[in-house]
Amino acid sequence: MMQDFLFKASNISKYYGQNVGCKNVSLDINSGEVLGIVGESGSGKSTLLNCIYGNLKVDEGDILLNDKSKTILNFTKIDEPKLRLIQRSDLAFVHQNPRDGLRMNISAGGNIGERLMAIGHRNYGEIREIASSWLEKVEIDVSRIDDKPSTFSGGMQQRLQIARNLVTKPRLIFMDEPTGGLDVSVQAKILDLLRNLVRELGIAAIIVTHDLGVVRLLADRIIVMQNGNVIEAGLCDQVLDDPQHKYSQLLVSSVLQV
Amino acid sequence: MIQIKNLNKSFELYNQNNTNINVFKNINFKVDKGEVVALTGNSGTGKSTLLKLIYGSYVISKGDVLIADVNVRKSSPRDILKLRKNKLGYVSQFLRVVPRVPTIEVVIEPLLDIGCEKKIALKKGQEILEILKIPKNLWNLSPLTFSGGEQQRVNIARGFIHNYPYLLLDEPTASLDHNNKNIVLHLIEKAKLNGSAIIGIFHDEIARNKVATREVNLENL
Repeated sequence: MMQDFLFKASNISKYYGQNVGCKNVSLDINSGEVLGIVGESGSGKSTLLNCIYGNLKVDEGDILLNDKSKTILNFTKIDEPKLRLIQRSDLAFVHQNPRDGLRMNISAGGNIGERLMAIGHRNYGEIREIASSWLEKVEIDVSRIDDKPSTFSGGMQQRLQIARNLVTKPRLIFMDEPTGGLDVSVQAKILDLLRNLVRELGIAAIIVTHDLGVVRLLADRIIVMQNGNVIEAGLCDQVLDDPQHKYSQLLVSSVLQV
Repeated sequence: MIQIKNLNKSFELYNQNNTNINVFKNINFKVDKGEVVALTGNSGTGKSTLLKLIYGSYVISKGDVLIADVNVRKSSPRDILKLRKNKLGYVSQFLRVVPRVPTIEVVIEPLLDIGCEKKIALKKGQEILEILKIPKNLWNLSPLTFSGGEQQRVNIARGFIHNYPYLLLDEPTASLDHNNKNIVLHLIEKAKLNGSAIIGIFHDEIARNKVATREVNLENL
């Protein structure tokens, strides 16, 4: 069944002038799967993520999405408005810094509701109800619904960003260091939330992180990047427990055991 | 049936003076339905390594591992994940779970992964936790705060909640007291009678003699 895949990027290359952002990267993901992309700072992880989401124009390669109506779209061939529409309906992008993914000057409830309105919800009472239930899911006190995210802590902002992105039930979430600046107990909550959503809603996720503990708990498969190239890819526990490439071995052995 | 054919494993450690460690060479044996094969041999002979090769956590250097009709070496990550979900269980000595997730949720996860209804999964989870004598007031707490023996039993509950036809056990009774050890040995016995093919490491000789139908000594191969 060739049509079974959800998302497939092939031979993606992106150059910044003379410099390589990422080179000849291919990956694919099905519904209900979590793919981790690991590597040190500057390895091209975020560039790759932004390329395949459609935020950055690629120099080479194809990005295919099997959309809700089972039509295969190539991001490199469709026009800008169509791409934006698909990004809103089928995809979601969670930024490392919640300030990049939230509207800081509208209320928490408004941040969630805005996404619902963008896909056609109009009933105010209903929107507020859904927004409340999502605040609960991400453990933000519902009494804060009318407060602006600028009054929230970093961890709360990140959870709000995740709620805002998941409320429309996207089929594929892109996440750039989603638990980066968070304290460990909030990290754990977000990991748990993500795992449940993946299983219950069949969501797929592509997660960029330098935290190998996070990928071990979340990802089915991982990709290891160095200098813009994929140097190793495979089953998550296999790559972490028996890395074959020199650089992957270094990366794995550099983690403090807790 | 699990079939191990001319299996070789070596590790190439590039960042440690390119050290090459040969763990073992040409391992051959088969495990039929209803058999419990105990791996024996001193520390460092590769018992845990062998289990990890069978499970797909380690890369096979040479040779083959066949589980039913699946050739582990030739399988894609997706095929291995499917095999693990449906047929191949693994109980390790260490509990690796998302922090803050309640014990009962940790235990029923393998059932939810194969699409079991949550209500049925919860019932089965409660049954196995009762069998393993995990006090009821702990079920809604994260197992990460538990004692070593309790954590091990949570791991066992996870491994035995689904009737895996193939089961790998790495020291399943290591940190358990006498009574709990017997409960776990009874679970292994039951799986054996159910027709599971089991490979295990049991340092405890009494435990080993109780459940193993055969021994494979990695030093003599």
